Amino acid sequence: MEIIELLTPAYEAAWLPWAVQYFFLIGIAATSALLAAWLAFGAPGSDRARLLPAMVTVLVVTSVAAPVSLLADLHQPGRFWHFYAHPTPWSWMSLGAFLLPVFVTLALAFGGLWWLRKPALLRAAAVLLAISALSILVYTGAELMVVRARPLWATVFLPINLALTGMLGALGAALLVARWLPAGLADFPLPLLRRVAQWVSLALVAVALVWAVLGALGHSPSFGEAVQLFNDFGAWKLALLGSVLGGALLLALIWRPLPADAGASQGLLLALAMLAATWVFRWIVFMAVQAVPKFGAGLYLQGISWGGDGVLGMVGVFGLVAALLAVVTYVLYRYPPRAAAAA
Amino acid sequence: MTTTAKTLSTTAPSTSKRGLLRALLGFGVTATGVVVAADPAEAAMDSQPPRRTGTPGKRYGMLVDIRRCIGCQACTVSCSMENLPPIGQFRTTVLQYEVDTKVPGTPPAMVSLPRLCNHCDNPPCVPVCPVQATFQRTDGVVLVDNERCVGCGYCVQACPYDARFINHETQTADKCTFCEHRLEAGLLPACVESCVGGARKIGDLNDAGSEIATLLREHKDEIKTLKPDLGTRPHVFYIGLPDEFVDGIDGQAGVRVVPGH
Repeated sequence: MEIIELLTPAYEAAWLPWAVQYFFLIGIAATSALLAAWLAFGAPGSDRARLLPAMVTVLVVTSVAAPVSLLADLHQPGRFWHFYAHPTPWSWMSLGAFLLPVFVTLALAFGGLWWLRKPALLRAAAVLLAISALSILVYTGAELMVVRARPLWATVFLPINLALTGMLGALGAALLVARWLPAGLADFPLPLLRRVAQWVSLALVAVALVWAVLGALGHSPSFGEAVQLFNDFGAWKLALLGSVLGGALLLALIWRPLPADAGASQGLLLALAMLAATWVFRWIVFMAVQAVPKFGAGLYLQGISWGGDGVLGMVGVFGLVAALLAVVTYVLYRYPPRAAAAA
Repeated sequence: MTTTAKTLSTTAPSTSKRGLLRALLGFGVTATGVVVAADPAEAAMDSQPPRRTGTPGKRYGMLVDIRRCIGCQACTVSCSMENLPPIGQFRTTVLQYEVDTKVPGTPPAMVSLPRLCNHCDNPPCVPVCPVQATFQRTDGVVLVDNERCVGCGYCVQACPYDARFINHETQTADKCTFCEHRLEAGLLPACVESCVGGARKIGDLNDAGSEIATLLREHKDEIKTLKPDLGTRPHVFYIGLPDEFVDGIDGQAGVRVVPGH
């Protein structure tokens, strides 16, 4: 039976590009928190300690910018206090409304303790921060995973991939911002960063293979849906091929042997590529998947407006990140962290 | 589903660093403890909050007889006039399809599919609401308190039938309410009232003598609902729905335009 849709209403995306920015920033924030917590236990002067300033900068900037983007995605942002007036323990989004301020506070406390050079307190805060970061990764992923109406979201692989790509983004962001910090790129532990990135990239490839194998065996509805979209629509074919090519390029950048005179520009390319991979993954998961009908045929045609709830909104969030970065780097230049005091 | 409020232990506070660290650790455990105790792993379907009071003793449902639908869209228009959603957004509408069975000599047929909120018995949209703005009543009607709704759009994502939308004017979640304001007054919903072919019927499923309960009994082998495998237990029942329409349309999309607003 051949079915052609003649008349359907226009269904819009309920989650705006702000959500993409939120998941991008919070993924980077939570994973940079995990990384920073790990780095905080490095010995003074070690590679881990030298990566910490950039990671703390990324953590502070993204953990402050993320909630702004999240608030903007509410169609009634002035009513956000309802989250706190009507707590709803069975809703992941409500839990997130409580977990997120805890995370932001801990992230800022961690940054403050790092700046004050209090290693023992920093390590204590690192443990709490890591637990809080895990709770953020769990809630953001579970929020999507429980939506059985969208098979592409209702899979355990989504939180896993969000976390892994988020970590890739955190590493890219650290590599990007390091050049603007007082220490610059001179002493930057690029081999350590690449090693972590290599592990993350292996994990991503492994997860993709597990997903594909489970899908081929018929145990993954999300894989089945993805295959169907790939077969039926040119736009999804393009997205997949683009992702594979982009992913291969990124793997090449992460794994290629470093030339002895690796300049700042190569680090820049790697950083931007990692950030781009993180962002594009979230764009596809949020915006492209919302164009897949729950019931109808074909794909919905959903435009992005140029204004505040579209392109300008996304650019605005990047602008906020730039502004926060400017503030943090200014503070680090003007008020450098105190010399190491006795613990 | 309840959470127990947890408080920090009330041992005498220590002024030493160790005491501070212990207190901080306790706070951290408490913060994550709340997550563990709530067990929202089962949230969103199969874990419904308690229903709020509705018309006592009733369970509303709708029966749509596709064989009687002529695709006139009178229901779409009357619902829009009764509830005044913004132009381009619909609480109910009739989706129309051209179906070619590819049997030689048989011309393509038109299928008109009236669609609206199914007021499911296990609604996936209710448990996800972070502020409990959307709720289900004891009579089965699922509603949105649009003074509490923050417009987060989570319920719109969770609905497997694309029945919900964010109203452009109120910027809150919106959907068919079974015209509960009319039902309360003893009237029929606007779409049922205006249906030219008599395809839409509404009534109390708990009343064995009601028209809808009688029809459901008579046609019990032909009754279908949309996406039954999801376990939402929709309460909009269809007679004459082709099997190819039950789990979603596998077909060619019509001409679409980018919605402008």
